[in-house]
Amino acid sequence: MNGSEKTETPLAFLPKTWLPKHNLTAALIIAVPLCLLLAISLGTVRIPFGDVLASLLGRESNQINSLVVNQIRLPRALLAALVGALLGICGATTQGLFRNPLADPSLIGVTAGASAGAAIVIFTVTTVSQFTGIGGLWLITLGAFIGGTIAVIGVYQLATNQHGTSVATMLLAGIAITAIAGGLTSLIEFFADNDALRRISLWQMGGLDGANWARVLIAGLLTLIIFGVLPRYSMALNAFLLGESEARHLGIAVQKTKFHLILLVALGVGVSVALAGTIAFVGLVVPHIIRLMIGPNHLFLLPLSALGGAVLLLLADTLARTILAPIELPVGLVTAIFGAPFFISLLRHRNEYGMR
Amino acid sequence: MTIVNVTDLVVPNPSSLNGGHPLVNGVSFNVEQGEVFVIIGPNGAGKSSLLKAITNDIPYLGHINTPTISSDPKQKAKHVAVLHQHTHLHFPFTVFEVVELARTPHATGKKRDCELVHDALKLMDITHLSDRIYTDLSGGEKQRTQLARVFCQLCEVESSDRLLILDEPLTALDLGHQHHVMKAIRSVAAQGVTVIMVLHDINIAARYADKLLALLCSEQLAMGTPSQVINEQTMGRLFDLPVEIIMSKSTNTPVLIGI
Repeated sequence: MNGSEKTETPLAFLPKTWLPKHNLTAALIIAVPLCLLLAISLGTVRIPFGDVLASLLGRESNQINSLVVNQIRLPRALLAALVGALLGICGATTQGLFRNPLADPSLIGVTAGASAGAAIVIFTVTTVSQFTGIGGLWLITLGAFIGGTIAVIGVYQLATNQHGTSVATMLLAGIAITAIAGGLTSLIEFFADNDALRRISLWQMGGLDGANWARVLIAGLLTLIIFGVLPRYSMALNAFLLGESEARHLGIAVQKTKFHLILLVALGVGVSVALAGTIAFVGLVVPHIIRLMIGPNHLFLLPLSALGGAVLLLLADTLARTILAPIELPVGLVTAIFGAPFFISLLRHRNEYGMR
Repeated sequence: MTIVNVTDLVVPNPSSLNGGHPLVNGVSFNVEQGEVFVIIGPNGAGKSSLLKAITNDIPYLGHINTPTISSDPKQKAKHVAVLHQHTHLHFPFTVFEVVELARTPHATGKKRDCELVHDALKLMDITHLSDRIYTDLSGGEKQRTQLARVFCQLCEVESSDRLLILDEPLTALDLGHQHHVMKAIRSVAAQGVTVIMVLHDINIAARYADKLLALLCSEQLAMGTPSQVINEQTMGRLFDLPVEIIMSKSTNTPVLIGI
């Protein structure tokens, strides 16, 4: 062995040529329902797979099991899958938009912007009764979407020039946006009366444990919209990776495309923040792993990141609910514990992606 | 048929610190169909700015007319391919995938695209790199990949108004590949593609260009066929260096030697 061995990249064990894309697609499509089943089965009370299936089909004789499955665990698992899918696909899109594999909505301040937007809505518009109903949820989602949009536009203006995005500038811009959004949220809390303060903290504490069918419905509808629209931009995102000017010379309407993508990312992140709170790093880790396996072609990267995100968040949430049972950890804590070291390792090896 | 008509082009200097001296000042020329039009000049003469004005990447004053080329972005992308001096691709596409991006504006179908990409790879002598990751390549290999991409963009277009714009496409290439690329450029020009490019190597420009435009300090110093432009007086002024010009016996083109 020679002494000057190259430092290992994260996940260097993965092959250097791309895996067959269809195999990975098939594997993930099979993994999603299996993880759903696992998430429903495991918990403080373990429900055998057979009983889970029986409950889902309405044939379970045990009323309690049926109630736990259909009213608590199924909506939660579905919300985790939907939010994970949204975070995965939005992460992949953000990285394409910024032409930077380290761009993640939670790192560049989009999540913080969405949180601030949601807090403003809760403070100004809703009373407790409205806030818990489905109308209140829509309003909070709208607020998070608007807050997220402002944040993405802000970061994009600050961090991106014709050569792409420098990692340092992007992260610093993210810190700035996060600070502004955090300041705004604190300011609202400062001026909020007891009632409003309670609503805001209730919302902030709510993670996936607040899952109910109303949230699943909203998440499902908006996920459907985003999944219907985003894949149409696959070719544009691919061309985008070459550079803005290059994309224009390949016939892409750059400004319009950028604006649409920013809106879609803000919508996806807004929905996830409004319904499941801040969940960091999923949008960074999932697209990165998928890219290592099949390459950066968005035609495959976008749908596979969605599937991968669903699988990852389902597993993370199952872990969060079971590792210290009966205590349930917030899923954001679990993704942060595993995601942050991953991010640090990417940051250390950023030169290998040609990033500064 | 005139493909590009440039009249009184001025590219203003975006930074007022430079005393506001324009990057390109009062340049006019015509490029005819199938011509290889080469812009030469010392560093900072405004060559890249001139190309960027033609490709509409920077604001300019004056007129640049491309009468035969559609202004609709998607249509335009089928007829005009551009390769700037610096490219910034940080994502691990394979070489094949990078070249395939050239087919974005076209609707020729996956199967035909695949054949065209293979043709372009062969033209640039990088067939053996097809499955390699772009970001792992050497500078010259990256440059040939990007060249294959712009060649591939102009394939399979039924029109005579195709335009290829290249900014210093030979900088990272070895001597053999420099000539290889220039021969490929001559061959596409023979198929009716008009080529506008910036070159540093006067000897290569002299050998392969139909027309030369010499820029000095943002202004047009000389324009014409290589034999009209390449003389000791013009070249001496252009590079601020005494030069000697000899005729190559094998190619019958002028060769410039700096003294």
